[in-house]
Amino acid sequence: MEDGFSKLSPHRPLRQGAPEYAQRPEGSGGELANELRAGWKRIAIVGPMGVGKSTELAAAQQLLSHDRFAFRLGLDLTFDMRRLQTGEVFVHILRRFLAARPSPALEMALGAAEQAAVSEARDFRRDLARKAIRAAGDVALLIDGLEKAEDNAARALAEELFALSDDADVALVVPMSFAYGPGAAILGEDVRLFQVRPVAVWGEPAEDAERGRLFLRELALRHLHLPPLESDAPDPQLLALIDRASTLSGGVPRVLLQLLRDAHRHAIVSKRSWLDPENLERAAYDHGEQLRRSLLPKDALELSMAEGQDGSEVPLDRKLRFLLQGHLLEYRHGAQVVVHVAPTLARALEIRQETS
Amino acid sequence: MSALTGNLMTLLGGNDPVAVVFYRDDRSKESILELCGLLAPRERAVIETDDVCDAFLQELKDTVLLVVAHDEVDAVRTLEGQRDRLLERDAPAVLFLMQSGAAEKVLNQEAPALSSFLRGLAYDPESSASEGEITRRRDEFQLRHLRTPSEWLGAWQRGEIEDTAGSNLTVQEAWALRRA
Repeated sequence: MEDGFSKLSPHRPLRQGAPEYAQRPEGSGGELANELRAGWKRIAIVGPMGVGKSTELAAAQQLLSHDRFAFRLGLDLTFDMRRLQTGEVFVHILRRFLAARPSPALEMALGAAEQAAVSEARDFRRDLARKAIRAAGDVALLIDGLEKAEDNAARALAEELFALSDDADVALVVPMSFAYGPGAAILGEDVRLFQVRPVAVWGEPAEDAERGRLFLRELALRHLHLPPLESDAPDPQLLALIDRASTLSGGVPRVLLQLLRDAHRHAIVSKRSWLDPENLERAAYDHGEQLRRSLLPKDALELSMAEGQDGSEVPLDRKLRFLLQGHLLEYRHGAQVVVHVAPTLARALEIRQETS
Repeated sequence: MSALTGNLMTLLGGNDPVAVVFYRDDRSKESILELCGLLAPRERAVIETDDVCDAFLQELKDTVLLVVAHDEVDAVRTLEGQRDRLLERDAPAVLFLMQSGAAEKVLNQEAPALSSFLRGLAYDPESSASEGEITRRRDEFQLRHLRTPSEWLGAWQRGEIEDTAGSNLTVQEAWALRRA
């Protein structure tokens, strides 16, 4: 078990079919796959950092691959996301697609596309992409990483990729700004917004919080390479530690794993038992301090006023920054949206929450 | 965030791809660089570089990279733009940033992807922790060493404490707690 803690990798998205994968209560890869199967041809995926977007995209790919060619690509492995050139990225996607579904004729044509005049290149490469997709049959294009690009670059590329939706299902991870305010204009009526949110871990309705806690328990156990909940009875002390870390994480999977990893490190340093709750409290303190340090003037006031509300009173640019940085976490309970300050930050700012 | 030297040791020995160290001035930067060399696991090479792109090199993925960039803002932006290229790393690339400097502001305001990676992976020996936390750490130090941090440092300076790897680690901790 010790070894499981030391090998936690909160930064690493899970690959397709990874044994560490746990089924989310909502916003899962299964739901995403179902939405595509239900006929949504253009899906824009949004969510804060560390919530599991890439992991769920990989899960959706696995499910979709039973009935179509599900092609998934992470752009940020190849490109500097601050300097995206739409044409260059589009050609890269096409090249990778053709590597997965080879077509010598199209590959030759692709070389010509890169040399075509700028005004002609866009239509030329789009037609090539269509040919490649049609040759592959039923296709789902699942493109990750666009959320890290500048808004304008992301928008230009999203428009080009969504334009392929006559021939393929297209799901893109896009910037948060596409989901709120004027930025949402790119999402016309035919683009489905798919939000991957933090899971509920406290508050009402109690069933949601219970489902969230069970998901995070299972996720933590799987990442620690321990038997899943149903197959064995895990150590109650360990479960209590995971539950406390889940609450402190605000339901963000990466934060949960970071807290467990850091608690283990504190245990090593202080030579205490790794199950000592004090280690977790110190990890949470560090996490909260790091978040507090990233605040700008007046942020603390805005956050305290937004706590427990729907977030609409926070100015849009500030709200986007809060959501993106994980200062503010947005939950949906039925039709209602509620925002809470990240629990570790709330403690650092002495903002009262139900959890504290 | 953590100011404990032991945490720097676990950062350098961990498998996270990136970490950040905040320094106050060039003198403290040099001192932390030296400390990193001492605390990194023996089986890992430690290299100092001014080119943040070295963090993406396959041949350096098992090396602790101490990234002391001339342009810290650009270093943050480079890692933000290509964060996922760091996933291959097995040893951390440790980014040195000036405390409250321009790069820290960019990290906090314009680099959400990188800063999300860095939670729990920051070392700041001179951070402005709350008074309550400092008191708690001082009490804990006294319990472990049977002296206050100031008393311990005094004893160290008088040569009353044996010069071992462990006591060298304690010097930094006592120093941070005494000054805080």
